[in-house]
Amino acid sequence: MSGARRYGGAHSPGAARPSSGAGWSARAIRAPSIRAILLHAAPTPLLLGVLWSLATADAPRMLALGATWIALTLGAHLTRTGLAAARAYDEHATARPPAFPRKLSGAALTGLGVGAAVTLGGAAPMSAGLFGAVAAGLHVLSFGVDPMRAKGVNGLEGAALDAAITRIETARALIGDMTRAAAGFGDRALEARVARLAAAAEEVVARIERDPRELRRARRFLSVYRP
Amino acid sequence: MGGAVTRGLAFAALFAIVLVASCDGAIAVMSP
Repeated sequence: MSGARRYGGAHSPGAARPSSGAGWSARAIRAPSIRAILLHAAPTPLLLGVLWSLATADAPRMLALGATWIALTLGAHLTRTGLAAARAYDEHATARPPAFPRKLSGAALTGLGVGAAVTLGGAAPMSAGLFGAVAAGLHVLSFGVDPMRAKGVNGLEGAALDAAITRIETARALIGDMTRAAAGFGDRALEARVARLAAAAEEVVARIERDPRELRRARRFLSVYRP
Repeated sequence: MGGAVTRGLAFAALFAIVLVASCDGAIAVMSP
């Protein structure tokens, strides 16, 4: 009996496949939004100004243009990460709001950057403030505001809601760890069994997410069936 | 549908403002 293992990968016939769209660990990584990428590209002319100031040894203007470019780029970055956080919030039936309001901070920095760029262009402070406010308002209209409240668990509030979300997030993390650990062995039969177990566990977590009263039943189920 | 159009138009206006303001700032530095 040789110790050789039959070659096979995730897409070989008979290999363990993630259940269609149900698994948390099987979710696709999505590309960043086109709008967020365009927002990153829009302040590029400021970099040409920075290079020009560098060439003409105009340090104050170079610093001002550089700071403006950094404000606009940081705003675009916060917007992009805020969109990803809001998408993760929307995908789960139970979720905490993001810890930091990235989209709103992105709107503020974009408004600040536009105001600074207009001021560097020679506009009056009043006019620059108006342009900045309009840019921040358009940002909020375009990208929306960050989710502010925890959602999803009926009848729970405050610390109890927080504890329920922590349990659900821990369970999902453990399921992901288990799946990754099984994939490390390279044993297809084991991977298939663990994938089935992970799918069942994710179904239990999804049911608890929909109705936290199921948590007690899930505990009873585990105490009976856990070896 | 209406919301998506509004968001699209708002983004187009925002992109134009950021781009024009950036060009304005850069050109002011480059002009003598």
